[in-house]
Amino acid sequence: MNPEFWGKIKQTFELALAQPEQNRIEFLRATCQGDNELFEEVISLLNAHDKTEHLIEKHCFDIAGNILPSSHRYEGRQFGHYKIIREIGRGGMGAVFLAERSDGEFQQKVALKIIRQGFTNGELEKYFRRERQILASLNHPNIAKLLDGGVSETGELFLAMEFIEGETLLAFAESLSLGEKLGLFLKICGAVAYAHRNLVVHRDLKPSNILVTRGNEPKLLDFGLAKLLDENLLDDVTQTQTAFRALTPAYASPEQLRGASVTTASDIYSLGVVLYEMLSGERPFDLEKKSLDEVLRTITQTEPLRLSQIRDPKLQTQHLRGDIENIVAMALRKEPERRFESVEAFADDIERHLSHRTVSARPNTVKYRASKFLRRNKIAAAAAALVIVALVSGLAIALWQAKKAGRQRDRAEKRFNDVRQLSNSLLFEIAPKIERLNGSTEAREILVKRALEYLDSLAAESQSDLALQSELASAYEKIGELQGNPNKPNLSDFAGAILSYEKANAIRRRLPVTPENRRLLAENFRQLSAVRFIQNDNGASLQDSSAALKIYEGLLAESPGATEMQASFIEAELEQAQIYSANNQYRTAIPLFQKAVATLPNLDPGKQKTRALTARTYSLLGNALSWDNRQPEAEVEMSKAVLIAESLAREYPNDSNIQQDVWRVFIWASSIYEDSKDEICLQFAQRAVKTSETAIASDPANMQAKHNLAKSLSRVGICSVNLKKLSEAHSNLAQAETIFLELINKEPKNRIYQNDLGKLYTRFGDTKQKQHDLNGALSAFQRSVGLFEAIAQTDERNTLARRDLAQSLKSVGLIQLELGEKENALQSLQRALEIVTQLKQQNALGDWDKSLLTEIQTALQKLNVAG
Amino acid sequence: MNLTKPKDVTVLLNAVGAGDESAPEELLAFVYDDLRRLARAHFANEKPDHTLQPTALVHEAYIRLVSWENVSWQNRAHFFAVAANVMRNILIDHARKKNAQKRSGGQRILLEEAVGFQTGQELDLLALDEALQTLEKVDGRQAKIVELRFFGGLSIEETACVLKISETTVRREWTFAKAWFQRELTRD
Repeated sequence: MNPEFWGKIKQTFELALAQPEQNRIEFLRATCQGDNELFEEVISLLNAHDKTEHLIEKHCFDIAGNILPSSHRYEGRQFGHYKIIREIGRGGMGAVFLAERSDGEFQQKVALKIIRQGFTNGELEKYFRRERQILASLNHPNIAKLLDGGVSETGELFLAMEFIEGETLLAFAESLSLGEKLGLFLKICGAVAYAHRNLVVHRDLKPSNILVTRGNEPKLLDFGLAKLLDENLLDDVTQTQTAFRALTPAYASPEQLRGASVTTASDIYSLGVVLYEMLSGERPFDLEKKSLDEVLRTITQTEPLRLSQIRDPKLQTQHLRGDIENIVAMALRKEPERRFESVEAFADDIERHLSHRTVSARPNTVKYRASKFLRRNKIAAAAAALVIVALVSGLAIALWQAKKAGRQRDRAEKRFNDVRQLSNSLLFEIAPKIERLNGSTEAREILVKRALEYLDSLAAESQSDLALQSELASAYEKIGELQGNPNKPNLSDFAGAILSYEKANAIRRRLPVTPENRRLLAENFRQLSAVRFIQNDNGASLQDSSAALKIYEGLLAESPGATEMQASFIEAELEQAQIYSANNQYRTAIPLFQKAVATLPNLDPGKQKTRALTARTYSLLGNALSWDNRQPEAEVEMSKAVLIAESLAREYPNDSNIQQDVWRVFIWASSIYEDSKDEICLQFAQRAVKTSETAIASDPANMQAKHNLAKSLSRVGICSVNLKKLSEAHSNLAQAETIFLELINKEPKNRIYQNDLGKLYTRFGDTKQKQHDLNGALSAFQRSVGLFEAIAQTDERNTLARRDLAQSLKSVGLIQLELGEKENALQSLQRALEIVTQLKQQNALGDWDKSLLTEIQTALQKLNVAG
Repeated sequence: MNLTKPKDVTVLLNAVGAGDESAPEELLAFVYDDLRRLARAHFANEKPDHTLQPTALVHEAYIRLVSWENVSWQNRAHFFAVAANVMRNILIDHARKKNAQKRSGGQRILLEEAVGFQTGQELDLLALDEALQTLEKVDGRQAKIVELRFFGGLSIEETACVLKISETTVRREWTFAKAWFQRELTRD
């Protein structure tokens, strides 16, 4: 088949598919016009398409099972002293067989696990033996004992374990009462705690690894095997970190999934999942049909439903409300250090609940008290930390450290304080001084990196010192600000900024719940929200913003007279309303702006900050109203904003923050007059140009002012286009382009610049089109498509970028149509249609955008008629 | 970060993302080794009712090899693209071997006993590969999409990212490809 015919088939197929089903054949006949081969091809493809399930949709795994070899060849074979009787199960780690000790000494049935993996070197074999010995020394009634192990004649590894006849945990637990379930779980905890005391972490605790015998005794299988086999499979003894082999994501802790060190806390997490499932019949996270990324994100970032929130009529969740669900939630915390400090502590809480005493686990929202405990029990805490160290890096090192610890404590403490002082001085004295220096980016980057290193080590060492923890949180926030606070000179490392803010957030949430700490936490959420907003991740931004508002609400309810707090609250609400606006949800945003306008007079009305805030609010409200097709109201609100801005500009000519607010009002004002009163639109745009030029004159390194200038120039260009002053438009737009390219060059990761440049190209396209330069227009629109597409692809939640993309695609399509490039036009328009239809389904189309849909449909109809 | 350190997939991936020309090959070699090893273990051990899942395998290799917090989403997509290709080779190899066994007759009955599951309509991997090769000749991009989606388990979004085309295009091509393969593979 030649590619040309292939292309024809594809195109016809797509067109036919777009038709209502009953019209398809008719349509095909008309389209193929006697080309029988084409007709046959497409009709058979349409038939194949109509099958409910497609073969290649199932992914390859459904069929790849065909390739599995048989296991029958193991039967009767001899492994060391053991002879295989039959297979009893298979798991991620290998096949398990029932085998019999057959050397005549004594009769013993064992479970024989065979790992088809030979040793590649002697070191590895030694390691295997050593580990095996440790595991074999575990001797507990609820742990299946490792009896023996070795290498078969054909080079396979095998392990002989106590053979357990029993039911799996979940099946057994199903018919038990709540009390009986908890009793059973306590026995499991006992076994895990015993192993932990012997420095063995299970790493792969899950219900299928726990059997219950006829005597109702739970037996834990495969203790420590995950690690043993893991190392083995990696062919590398030195890689002790993790790289886990036994991938059972449903039970794996967030840190395991991240590839971080696995400690006793990971087992506590897995136990939490097991208990959750025992009690509710469900797993904390629904991972069905999720991609790997989604699985990772779900487990490391989202909170599971609390047990009492599970809606299942069979389940009497009211019994689980309170203590039990708090206990489970504590085991399931994302941060290992916030879970129970040991399995014993976990079990102890359950026992307390059973004997109606107060438990230590509290909901996340209430003050977390473990830090207090740590302070009171420094020695115990240190010992616990050592156990963890031992599990990670080997007992020898831990012992060495324990011995040295006493002697070096004084010296260590001094070093600790030095580092603390140094980081503080780096961040709070040096960084602000170089913040606005031209070309200081690299220096600031190094500074941020060093400070982060110090801080991370401090944070790890000082869990119990609350004052220091609070200091650390501020330091992380300062770093976040340097990395990516959109309102200050920043490094545009938004992902890094989010990480830093999140670290601060995690610390702040551990601090005592004082009003001051809550206020700081709220501010942290706002900063997080702002960076996410810059990244165009509006969904997450909204969540953080809501979290901040909730805290402010609580604080204001306690002390309603606090005007500072009220101002912060309004600002936060405004921020939220802006997120809604950016999401095209003007109807949600407008009432919030209106509410802010109504509350503002309660604040100190003479203060410049309040006035600037008032002006900003009016302009945001005006803008949202205008987008919502309420133009007369929009103009009224906007004029209020302009009035305040003008007087502020006169009173504070040298205050860069005030000037920034003034500039913003002018730009918003200009934008609402576009297409209706273009003269006014142009005047405001020119005032915006002037304001930003003044700012640059007083501080040439100010990137923000440059960005403002570029935006103002492109706005002047837009107004000029509408006023038919085309050459003026062109020169302004070209100036703006130069500045944007310079900014993108400096900060290639900053999507805002790319978005603005994309918008600029659409304006270019408009001008060229009006000058009847179709090819010029086409290339401008195509450039904007490229930029919008890139943004839309990195953020599926960004509906605005997709709207812009559709708009540009539509323009591209219309021009292609005019140029006679029908196939291209069809492709562009269909893509535009697809995007807009999708947006419509998501309710993400403003009234303003609805004409877009009609325009595209009309063009497509025209094309179909002509084609 | 130290580029000379061998076997660091995270570093390699970032190098691929940054346009380092030797990186893709090194990455391929590395991913190939690991996937082979994993696949071998799975072919030997996985239980029949829990059949071999290449996509799960690829993900497993990914989790084992890459410290995902340090790799950008785009670079992760590179990993999956490489892995998809490797997975295709591994599976086709195995299918060939199995076919050879079938022809020689020896293990046939045992094999069918061991594979105790039904997929309804059975898909012949070798036929699929053949069809995919045909497709490669007339429509390279669509063939690549199929390889990424089918063998690599990539989502529409990820596929679009790897091939640097829009999701809409991927979706449209995928719709066509599904119909085409359905027809080609069920033809008598």
